[in-house]
Amino acid sequence: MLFPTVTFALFFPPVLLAAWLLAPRPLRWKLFLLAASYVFYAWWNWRFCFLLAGSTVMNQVFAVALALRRDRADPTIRYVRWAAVAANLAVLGWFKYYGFFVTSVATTLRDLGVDVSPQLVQVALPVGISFFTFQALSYVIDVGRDVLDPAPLLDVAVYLSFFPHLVAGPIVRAAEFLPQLRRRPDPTRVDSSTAFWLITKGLFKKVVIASYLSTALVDSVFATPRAHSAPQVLAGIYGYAIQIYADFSGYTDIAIGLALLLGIRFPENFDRPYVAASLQEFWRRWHMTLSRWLRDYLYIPLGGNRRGTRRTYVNLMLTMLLGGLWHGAAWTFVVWGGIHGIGLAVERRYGHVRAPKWVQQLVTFHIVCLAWVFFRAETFTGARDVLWRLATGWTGDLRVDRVVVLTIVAALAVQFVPREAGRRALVVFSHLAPAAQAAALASGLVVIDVLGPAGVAPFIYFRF
Amino acid sequence: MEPRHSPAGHAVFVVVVALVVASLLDAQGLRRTAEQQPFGWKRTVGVAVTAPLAWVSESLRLDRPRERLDVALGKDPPGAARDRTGGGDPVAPVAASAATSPPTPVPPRVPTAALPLRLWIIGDSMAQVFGQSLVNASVDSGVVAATLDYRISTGLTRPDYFDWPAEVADRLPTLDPEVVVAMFGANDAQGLLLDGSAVPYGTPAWRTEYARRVGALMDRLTVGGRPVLWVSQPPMRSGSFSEKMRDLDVIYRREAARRPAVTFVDSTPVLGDDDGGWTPYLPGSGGRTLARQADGIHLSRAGGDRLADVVLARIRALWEPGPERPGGTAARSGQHGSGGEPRVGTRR
Repeated sequence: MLFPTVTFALFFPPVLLAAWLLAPRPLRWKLFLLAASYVFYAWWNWRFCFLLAGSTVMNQVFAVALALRRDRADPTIRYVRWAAVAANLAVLGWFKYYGFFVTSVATTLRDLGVDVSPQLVQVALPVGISFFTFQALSYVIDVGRDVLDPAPLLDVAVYLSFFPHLVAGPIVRAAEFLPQLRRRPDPTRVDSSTAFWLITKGLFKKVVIASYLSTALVDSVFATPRAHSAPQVLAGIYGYAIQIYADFSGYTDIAIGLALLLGIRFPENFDRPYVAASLQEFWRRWHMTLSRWLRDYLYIPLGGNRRGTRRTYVNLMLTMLLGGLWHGAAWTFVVWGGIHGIGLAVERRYGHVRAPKWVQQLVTFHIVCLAWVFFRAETFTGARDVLWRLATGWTGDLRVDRVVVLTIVAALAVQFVPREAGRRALVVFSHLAPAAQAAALASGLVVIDVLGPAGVAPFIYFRF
Repeated sequence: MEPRHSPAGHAVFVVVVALVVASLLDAQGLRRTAEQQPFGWKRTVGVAVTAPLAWVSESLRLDRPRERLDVALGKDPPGAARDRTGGGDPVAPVAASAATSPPTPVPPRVPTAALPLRLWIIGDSMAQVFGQSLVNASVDSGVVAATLDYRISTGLTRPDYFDWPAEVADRLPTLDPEVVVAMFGANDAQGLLLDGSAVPYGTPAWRTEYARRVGALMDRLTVGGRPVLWVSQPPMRSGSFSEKMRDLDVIYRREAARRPAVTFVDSTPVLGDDDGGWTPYLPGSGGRTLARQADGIHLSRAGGDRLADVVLARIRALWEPGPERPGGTAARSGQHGSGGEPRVGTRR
């Protein structure tokens, strides 16, 4: 079930109404949220509901086992913690990396002169598995670290399956979500104005900006780079930078807005990433919940920057390479992570070199765009073709669609608008009468529908 | 100053009223969306709900703002698009005698880098990856300029959703392709509308009408003896869906056989296993490669590349001497051709 569809528009209002009616009764409220979330998930493929339920039960068993050992100061706790991590990664590995792993090993062996013909099956990727697995890991690891106590199974089930963040984040940690379930939302104080603003903004980003750029240029450039001139390829790369931002941050905006309407607050996930003057700053602004997850559950456990300069670089590279692989089972994602890892290491080494801020922003943006080429291309050959065409395709038809250029420029310019700029309008909106708010919201929905192309492609991050 | 928080009832009220108002403002679009669903109970319910909504919207003139916005942006308002495609014969024959006396194929001229062969690739989402691969292969050939037009979720059963014959009639004179590659069928295993009545998929009436539409499109494309390569659907992961595609391939093959200018290209030997069945992985020089996407239907880039290589070889055979060349007539040096960069059409 995609957010910007009629199906979801029919699904959400009764869920919202029932959730608030049941809110005074915690058990029924949680059971209802759980049921609604499983219906939402089953809309894609009901079979994967069993996977989600299995993951929930498995992680709850690990969490209870960890808590028991933690309380007894049992030294075997580390084995349980490793078993929990290994079990979660095994599930993720089977569904997401099986084919990639087997073909990579077979190719390597063939290159070494060992001919193997492994039995290959195409494993269907459950939507959202990367997100709910990382959230489950945050739960069991935090219980093992004594940050959290095990929550009741029902709470854990609602946490992992809660439909606004289930399939594409943001990656909400157990420590951020579970206390909200215990407190229950306050029905007299719903931040609905912010929620409506986020939902409308998210729909506009996804339906209008991302869909338009994808259909007007980006898909074509990355699929057939040799048929495009260098300016078109350049616009395609910039366009993808905007498309993926609009697509993913748009989804996140909608998710945060829907959760807010249900009385649950999610952490922020994006903060105008293309104004970043360094890659370090970029990662504080882009997919912030993943950055924090990787920092707290991978980079710091690896030693972070506490074990010397060389080890810091190694830890940075490992974190970014694995972060790349988290996005998809392909070497192109590893290269994407590698470019960011090298960039972060270079910044750490030469961070004292100063340049005007706009130069730093320009350089950072273009390093990010270079990395996006590998992220978007289906193969290394595809990425090579895009970059080769960018370098050599300065003849023939150099024209780029004006609307595409205008969209890219406008979308980039908006990144530089201070966050507080829209605050006043939001405050004014929040003081409008409910009927006026509904009329404004309805008009916004219709305008978005008119401006968007026919049909909406699934969100890019669904495949991760 | 912070935004004012509201009671939950206020939030629910705004959501419900906003959606009701938005559905009234966009009632024509909703009705059209409902009408375009595959025939069945979902469509019946959708139409039953949206029809009165559209009537109220029209009566109260609530659909005007949306119409004006569409016009201002140069788009067809939903109602107008419905009127244009909803009635009449969706696939009228090009000429009364087209099906009975198909044109003799005219092999294309020998293309050059300066005057490349104009190739037009059309189809549904199955033509997306394959078509892109064919565009790339055309660029690499140096003598073929390809234009790709694929439309996701389209086909020949539901011209009320997207009218391919009308699209072909619109674009053919402008593009003036020398060769056309077509790949349809993935969305066509559903009921169709004939004389205002729904005809269930797979019935004799359905087969007759679908074959007529396929033949009529072939006739339209082959006017003047233009060669057309009609690419079949490959095996699918779902056995029942694969069976439906086999049924459609029988129709394509039969209609192609009736028209000398149409070459039926069977994709099963290219993308199927040794027995012609489904396989996601195909052997190759670099090991086994994933040829299909995770949905068990669409092609991966590697699969698209492999099918494109085969189809381009068949296109080359049209002008190069060899046993596959149709008609046996000598290739001619053509007068057309704009040269320059191959073009890639955009999805709309």
